[in-house]
Amino acid sequence: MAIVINGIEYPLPDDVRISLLDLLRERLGLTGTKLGCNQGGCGACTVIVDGARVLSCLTLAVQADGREVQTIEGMAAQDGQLHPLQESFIEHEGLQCGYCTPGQICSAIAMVAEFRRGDPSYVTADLARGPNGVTRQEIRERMSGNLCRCGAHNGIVEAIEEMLAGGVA
Amino acid sequence: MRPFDYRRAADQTEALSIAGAGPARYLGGGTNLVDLMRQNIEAPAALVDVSRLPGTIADTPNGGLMIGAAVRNNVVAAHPAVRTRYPMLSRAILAGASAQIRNMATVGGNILQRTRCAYFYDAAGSCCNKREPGAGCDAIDGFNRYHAIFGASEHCIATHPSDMCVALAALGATVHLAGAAGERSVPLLDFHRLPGDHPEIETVLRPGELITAIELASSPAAANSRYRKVRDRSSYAFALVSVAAGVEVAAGKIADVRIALGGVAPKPWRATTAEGVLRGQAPTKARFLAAADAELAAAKSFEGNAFKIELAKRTIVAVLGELTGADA
Amino acid sequence: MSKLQNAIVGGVRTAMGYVPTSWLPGGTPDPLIDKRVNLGTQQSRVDGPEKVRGAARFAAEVKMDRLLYAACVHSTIARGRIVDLDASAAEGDSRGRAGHDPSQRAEDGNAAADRPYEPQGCGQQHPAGVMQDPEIRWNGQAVALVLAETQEQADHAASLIKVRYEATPARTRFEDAKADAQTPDSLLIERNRLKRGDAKAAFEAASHSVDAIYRTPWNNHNPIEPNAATISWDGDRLIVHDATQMLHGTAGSLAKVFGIKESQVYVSSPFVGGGFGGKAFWDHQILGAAAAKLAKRPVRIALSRASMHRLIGGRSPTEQRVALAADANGKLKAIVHHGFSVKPPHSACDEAFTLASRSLYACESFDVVQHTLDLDVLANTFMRAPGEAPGTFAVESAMDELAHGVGIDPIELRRRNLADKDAVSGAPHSQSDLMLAYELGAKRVGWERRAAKPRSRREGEWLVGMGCATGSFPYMRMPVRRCG
Repeated sequence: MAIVINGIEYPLPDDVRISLLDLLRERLGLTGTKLGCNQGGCGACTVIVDGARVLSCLTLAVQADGREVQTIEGMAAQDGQLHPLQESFIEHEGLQCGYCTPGQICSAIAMVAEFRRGDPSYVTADLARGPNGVTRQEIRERMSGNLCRCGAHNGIVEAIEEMLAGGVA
Repeated sequence: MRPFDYRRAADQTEALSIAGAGPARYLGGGTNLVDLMRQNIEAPAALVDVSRLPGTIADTPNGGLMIGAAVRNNVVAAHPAVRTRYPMLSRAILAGASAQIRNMATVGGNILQRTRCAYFYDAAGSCCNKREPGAGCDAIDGFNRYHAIFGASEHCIATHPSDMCVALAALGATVHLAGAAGERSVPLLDFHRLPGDHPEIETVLRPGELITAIELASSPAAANSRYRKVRDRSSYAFALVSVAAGVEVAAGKIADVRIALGGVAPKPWRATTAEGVLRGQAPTKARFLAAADAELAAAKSFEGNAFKIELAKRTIVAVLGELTGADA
Repeated sequence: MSKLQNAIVGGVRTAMGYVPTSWLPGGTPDPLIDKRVNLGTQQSRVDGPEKVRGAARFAAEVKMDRLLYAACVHSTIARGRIVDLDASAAEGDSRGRAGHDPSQRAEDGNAAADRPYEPQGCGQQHPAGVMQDPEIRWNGQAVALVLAETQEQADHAASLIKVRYEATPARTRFEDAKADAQTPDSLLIERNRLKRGDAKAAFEAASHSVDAIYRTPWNNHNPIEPNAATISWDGDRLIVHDATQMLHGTAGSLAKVFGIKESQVYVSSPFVGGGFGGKAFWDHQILGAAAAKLAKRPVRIALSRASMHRLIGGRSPTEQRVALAADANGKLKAIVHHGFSVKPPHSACDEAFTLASRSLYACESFDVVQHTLDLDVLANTFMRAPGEAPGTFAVESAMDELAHGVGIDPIELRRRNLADKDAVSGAPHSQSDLMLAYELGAKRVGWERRAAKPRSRREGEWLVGMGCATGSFPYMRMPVRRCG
């Protein structure tokens, strides 16, 4: 029984109450993933589990048994080269205090996969066909689960647009 | 959070057997139950994780669809059969929560999610008959913007928060259950209970019973359907009022119409009065208004939510107009 | 001037003291000025790479050996006293440590009860200390703190503590408190009452007037990073890894609370996940430091959202009356701005919502005054444009209504009321580009498409309108003491 986090296996915690978020932050020292509200309301705790973005604060660590988890610490390459989205976040100033940033980045990276798969969103006009290109309306709707109190939204949307336009994910 | 035992079931038999051995709650995606446990609203002694039970979406012999209870919300919403044959269901799911939560939540868990009434959640400081029968209801004279205009009782005015269930109600879905006494099925419309004198009893589930699947019947009205959610912000917020509707027009007359309302009642509210006014009639805006008026005539509002009555009427009219192209 | 005002003035003096007089306007330029080629150009954030990697370390992320986690128990009554506090179930919880409750006096040398103090530039004052008596002063006050080896254990143990209260009548209603409203002499460094000219006569002679009440609600602070601190003692040295905007204020206040020198307190806060006025010195740092001293182990006190809404102040609600008198051309003849905000005695924040109206526009007559209400609630505090946010809302709404009443464009109304000197002191403006801002803004939003009649532009289901308002924020300058 183990959770694979950024390619490394970790045992499950002894206390079944511990969330995936607290496992990362308090037991494993992976403090990149942030605790914003602990009740599923802000998205700062977003990580990627088996390719899907989820809230680690509402995931019991034991539920991630056998799953592959990617956190912000795993987004940059082994040699330290930043992920293209991390680069564009800096370039477009998609952050100020930086506390929502890891959650935004993990959420956006997984969101791109959903988009490319053709998954619709609430604002997708043609539900059967799927999203018709990358629009700001689609990006904002799909990123609505990540709050930012500093107001860096415009930079975040621009950073995501650039990444989508560059064809990278 | 109180310490609890945790076991994960690989299949239905195992799930029922663990649950049958002692008091346990089923855990799906955890997006509601884990939150309730952390807030000390729920304190189960044991959890049976059923999120990895096999879950599929498959055609039924009579042209309908069977959706496994363990299927994640986002998978249902993105499924081609759901998008083409039951678009209101896809849109309703997409209207709910956030992408992360839709990735985690299961169909079964979505059906069983509990109200987000602020007084229900305030275990330390507020009176709530759902949490503590007989304690009183602080919402009735309190902040009740998000509360019911139908189906409330003097003991509870909370609303059911699910968007998916509103569409399932409009579609006349069937809930399949399995328990110690065997399998049975219940119409979704009868699955949730109104508060009455016992707001603490929210569904007809028997102890240990597991939701196994949702079954949908096919119909032209299901295929020509929408979901419209009106809320305080444009995304990631609960409904003030929502409308799931589907219409079949044949020879210029409404052959079939389904309307259900969300955000207005302790369970998804099937607008049968409005449907009755419309069936067999030509689709016109005046008729839509008459139907909405008839349905909302029985609404009873509170100080903070009186606006919902007019809002519900307008939303019903708007959605029916979009579905039929009727503007006047 | 109040202690807070002294602190502000003192702080500026200290900062200015580091600047050689020769560098001030009129002197020789800063010798480094030519080396700073990046000034005036767009730069990427220096801390950007750290933050996008999740490597920036915030207050609740500092690693400590033998760390204990804290959880708070909050009062559920607004006023009264604790009659009984039963922590037995919490202490019985395996590996939970003793709670810390007010029925025991703090035994850590913190004689705060004997030493009321006014902290500098911080969240609130603690005239009666923290947890020094069983008195409840607001709904949400911390009545117990639990320490445990994990956050799960601490949270669970906190939920097992049973408190019985004897409640007394509480003043929590805004309307009811008006009868006992106070009228402070000053607001920050400005005198409160302003009476100039004859507002009453101006209204009698006015061609147009607006007289309305504007209300703004309490706002909770909700930065994405919850208020938190990781605290440890090293002998009699107090080390606080804090999330704070007020490093010196926090250090100085903690020194006073614990009876040590400010030089013995080390406060570190390299990264703050959003402050907005709310990341200051509140009860939780005191509780965390006291707990760390008692337990002789480092403590992490990271507030839940529920705890934040009970311990960290928010923006006071306001009720404001703005009355504007104008002649036939919309020229202002009188500005009346009265109102109420909440400020309990333990609050350090003046919500100075009438300051903007004293300087935004030219006017001959002013009648401006604010009152404060004492309610048994969590202290109000600074939040994102304190004063100006609710205050300009009221004044600018009134200006908008006046423009509508006079029948002229709202931007034109501002132009007709431009001042080139301060309306109250007569001091000339060193720079006055309000109309330039309006011109640029008008161009960007396509102001020429605006229809003056409300509800006249419809796009599908949407009614579309355009409006404008002046936003302002004070810039305080202090006289410099010449040195050297």
